[in-house]
Amino acid sequence: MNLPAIARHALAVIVLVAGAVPLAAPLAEDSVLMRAMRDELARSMAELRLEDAEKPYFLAYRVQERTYGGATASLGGLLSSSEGVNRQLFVELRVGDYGFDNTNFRSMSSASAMRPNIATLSVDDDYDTLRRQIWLATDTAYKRALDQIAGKRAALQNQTQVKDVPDFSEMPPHRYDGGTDGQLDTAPARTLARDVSTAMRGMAHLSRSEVRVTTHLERTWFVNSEGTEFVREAPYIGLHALAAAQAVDGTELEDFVALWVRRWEDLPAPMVLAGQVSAMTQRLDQRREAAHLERYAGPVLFEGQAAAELVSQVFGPRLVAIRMPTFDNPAMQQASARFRNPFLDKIGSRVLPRFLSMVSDPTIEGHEGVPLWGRQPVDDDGLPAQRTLLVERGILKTLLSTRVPLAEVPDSTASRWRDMTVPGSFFVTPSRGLSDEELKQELFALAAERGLDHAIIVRRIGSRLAKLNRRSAGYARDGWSSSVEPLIGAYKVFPDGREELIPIAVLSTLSESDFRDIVNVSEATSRHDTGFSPSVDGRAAGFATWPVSVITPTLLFEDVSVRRPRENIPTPPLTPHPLSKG
Amino acid sequence: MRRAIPARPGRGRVAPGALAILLFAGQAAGDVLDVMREELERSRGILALQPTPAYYLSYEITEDETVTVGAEFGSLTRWWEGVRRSLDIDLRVGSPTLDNTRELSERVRRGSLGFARAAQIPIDDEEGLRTVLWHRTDKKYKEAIERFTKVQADVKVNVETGDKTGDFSLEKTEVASEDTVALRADRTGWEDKVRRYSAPFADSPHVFSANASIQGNVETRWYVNSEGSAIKTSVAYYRLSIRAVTRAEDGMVLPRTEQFFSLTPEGLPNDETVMAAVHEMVGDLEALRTAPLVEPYAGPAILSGKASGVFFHEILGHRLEGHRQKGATEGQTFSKMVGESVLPETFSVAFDPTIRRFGGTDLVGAYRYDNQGVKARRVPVIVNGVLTNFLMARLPIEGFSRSNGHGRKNVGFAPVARQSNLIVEASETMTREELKARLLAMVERDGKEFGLFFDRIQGGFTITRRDLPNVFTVTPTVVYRINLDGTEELVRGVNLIGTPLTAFSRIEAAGDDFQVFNGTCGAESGPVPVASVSPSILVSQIEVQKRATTQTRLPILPPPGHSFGEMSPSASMGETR
Repeated sequence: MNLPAIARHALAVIVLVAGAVPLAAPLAEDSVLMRAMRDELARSMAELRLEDAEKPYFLAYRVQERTYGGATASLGGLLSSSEGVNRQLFVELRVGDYGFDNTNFRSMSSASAMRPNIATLSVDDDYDTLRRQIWLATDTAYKRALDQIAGKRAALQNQTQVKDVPDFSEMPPHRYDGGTDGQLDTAPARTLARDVSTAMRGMAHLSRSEVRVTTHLERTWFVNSEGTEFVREAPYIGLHALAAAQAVDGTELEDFVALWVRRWEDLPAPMVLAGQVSAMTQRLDQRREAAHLERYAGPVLFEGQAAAELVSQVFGPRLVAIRMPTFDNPAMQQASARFRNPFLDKIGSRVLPRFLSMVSDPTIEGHEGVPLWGRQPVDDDGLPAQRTLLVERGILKTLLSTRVPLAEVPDSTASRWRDMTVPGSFFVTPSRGLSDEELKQELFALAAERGLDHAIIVRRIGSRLAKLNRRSAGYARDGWSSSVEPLIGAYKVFPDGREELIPIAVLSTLSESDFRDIVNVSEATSRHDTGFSPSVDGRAAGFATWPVSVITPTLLFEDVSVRRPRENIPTPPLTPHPLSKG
Repeated sequence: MRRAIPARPGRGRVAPGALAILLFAGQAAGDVLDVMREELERSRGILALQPTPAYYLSYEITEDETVTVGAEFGSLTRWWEGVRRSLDIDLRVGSPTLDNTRELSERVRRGSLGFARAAQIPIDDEEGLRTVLWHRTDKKYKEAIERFTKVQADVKVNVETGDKTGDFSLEKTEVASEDTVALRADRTGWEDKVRRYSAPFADSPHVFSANASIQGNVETRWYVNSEGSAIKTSVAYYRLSIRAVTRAEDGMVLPRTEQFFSLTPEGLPNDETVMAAVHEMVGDLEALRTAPLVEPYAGPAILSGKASGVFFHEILGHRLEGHRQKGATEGQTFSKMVGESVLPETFSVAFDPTIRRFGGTDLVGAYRYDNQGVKARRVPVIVNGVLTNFLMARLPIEGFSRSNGHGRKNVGFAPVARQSNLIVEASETMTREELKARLLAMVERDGKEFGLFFDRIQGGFTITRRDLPNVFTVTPTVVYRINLDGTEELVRGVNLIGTPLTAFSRIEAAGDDFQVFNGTCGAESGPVPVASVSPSILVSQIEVQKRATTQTRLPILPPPGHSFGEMSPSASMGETR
């Protein structure tokens, strides 16, 4: 691999720990839970068999323990808070062989056989109870697997598989012990939510506001019948400050501050947080008074957070390879075709300009001293995390994948998270770029070519992770649709340096194929954290969001259509804000 | 105008083993009610001047604080603690004769989904409280005028129904305030209990799940309306649930549950009582696995007090809920039967949310004010067998123009008439032996081989709509066959089914053994806690149908640490008493 630009970039990041650490037993993973998992796994692989039916050829147990806490507050008052702990066991049991097994199949006629193999496990490390719970979950999973393989064989009697791709790839054993001795105090969530929400008090222009603080300490224990084992621990603290206002014409506007850290001490100081929240409310106030942009077609510059959101929301989802299952219903089989990732046919083709490369890297701990999101030492198959070169000098090299092979992507890139495929941190790296000033000049030159007296710069785009109306957030979104969240920080810019804020706008068309025609980028890159929406069978996986860091330069597109949202505008409130009566 | 609302006192944590003392919180509520009232008046003043004025407005804030712990087979599986504060608004435009809440015809209603929607609201900060009240009232008003336009159009294009009563009754102003009850959750102690309560099931290789959970929650409500009512109530609920499941050789899933409820933690049964119940459950489950199946049957039966409580809840209670007498899609079984005899004259039935306790057991259907600001009261619905009344929310129906304090709901739903504590009274009762003797006489008279005794139940459900069969189902967990020779034999695999009027006409006699059933009732205004107090009853004919079952085999491998021999089915023919 010869990638000088990316290599240079790698030097710029602080590499604290890279990759999994090979182990020598016995380790911290020798817990009662691991012992119960191993013992029941060994017994099941040796003895679990129903009369003449097939034995399992692969069995994996993944246990996820979640110690969580969270609080939501508004204007200094608590709305809700909760904390708790639970443990879930995910059983992956396969019958058949690596070439053909019970998976990659969806039955429309036998819903019970398709249910996920999830069971509740005790959080007490009591060996007998754990064994009993694992035993019962394995028995259910085995019976379902037999139903599935029978259903799959029946369905394939009337279908011919175009490509004979194995159902599962064989992997050598790997062990990783990240320990499970970390602590994450959930108690500060309440105070923090209250305190940060206090920063939005006294603002009569805000119709709604909310601060959500979420903490998780997720521990994962894993064993499989190939000898892979791991123990992993991931703390998470998320802070979302959200506010909404109605513009003078009634248009509803939202903005947010979102940040995630691994430790409480990594959060910015209260004064800094309050400053960020206050800046957000000021932005909202400015947008309330701003004039709408009706329609614009021309060059657009996406800076900072907006560039990162664009990469995460439009380009990133295409970098994930998802295998379409066999359905026992021809209509479903046909319907599923529309969720096929168009990038599967683009491997070897140019998808970015020649001066851009892109990497997914879950091995890098931090960027400029700040921990990165997307990092995990091993994926949920127990494979050591690996850096994946996705686009090299504009050419698509591969897609992110798991142990479920595709004809186009036969090998796992160790990208499994639960039942989804997710990236590590995304690095979009330019081999050449312009200074900010040069980039602006090019923007105006492109605008002038079209006879425009102004151009557009987008600095903020809405995030799928941070919405006040959670019901609409990520709900049943088509994984391959190119809808982008609204532009909440867009400006009309003029060659004389004047900037006019646009209250809200949407991109009417912008898809992954437009990235090929990026005309130029900045030399410098910046890092932003965002929520990646993974998909299952090509469709968005509901509310699951994977925080990921995106390191990208500013992106200049030549042809982008921007317009005012088409939705009807609600009338302004009939009653004045309670603060406005003095 | 800023006012600091005193912070709510923290939960009263009780150290393991320490003597629990009833704690009451301070007087924060007055201020919350004041702010709600001020904001209500401010919005009402402006909304009353709109082209479509608001004629009624109410705010209800519910704070739900909960602690739950759960264990399986002797080990803890989860704990959870949380608090949530929600706002419900009832805003009406039009007039009490016709307003935005009028039920729309099926044609118009189609496609609208009834999801629960409640805004979260801070109560410990005045600015937050006012801002959310303001914003949600505006939203609610806009929804109300939009819906009222639909209602007006709907009324024009549809034929009038027989019931000419309006949409809202005027009620008395109520002012009351209770102190906030502190949640007395001894989480460590509860964890220890649920471990111990679920542990004995681990000794049985045939029990496939065995959960014990304890939940404590305090529901505090602040309510104000534009009629001047201002009410604060606070009540604690403590529940202990134990559920274990075995499976018969034929794949039938056989659950056995025990539920205990109290308004205080010390009202829950002591360890000795619970462990005795647990051991009885273990025995029942072992016996149920091999108990004989009952084929579909119609014949005489005795329903225990708990079973008959659910029976009355399903066939009578739901059909007496006021709005069901009005809805064009409702079966309206009892609408025109006021003054008629529907039960033997020895039976009377009342709904009484003012009773908090019966025979040493707290009743979960008790409350002081309903969710429409109306004071709870006893409502006799059947007096000496004659139907006299319905359960009323503030939706008037023909002949019943006022609420009787049964407008209930869960957070996020609109209130409708719902049940509270259902109390069945009998002026003549029989001992268990007398009931059994009379049952056996009926069995013999009808040429049957046996009668049935429904002892323990999980719950039930019913359908009251007219476009579907008006049936009910009671789902028992423990049923005995009473043979002609008087022996009682445990059986499995049946649910009690029927239609309401037929079932009622077959009630023959009451026992002297009143039992309490505490549960949760789900209907269009969300899950609400309800109770029933009922004697066992003798029914001359009930019908049972086969219960849905799976064809799933028993586990292939024996439980870890057990041999195959222990897993083989026993030759027993079931428990006989």
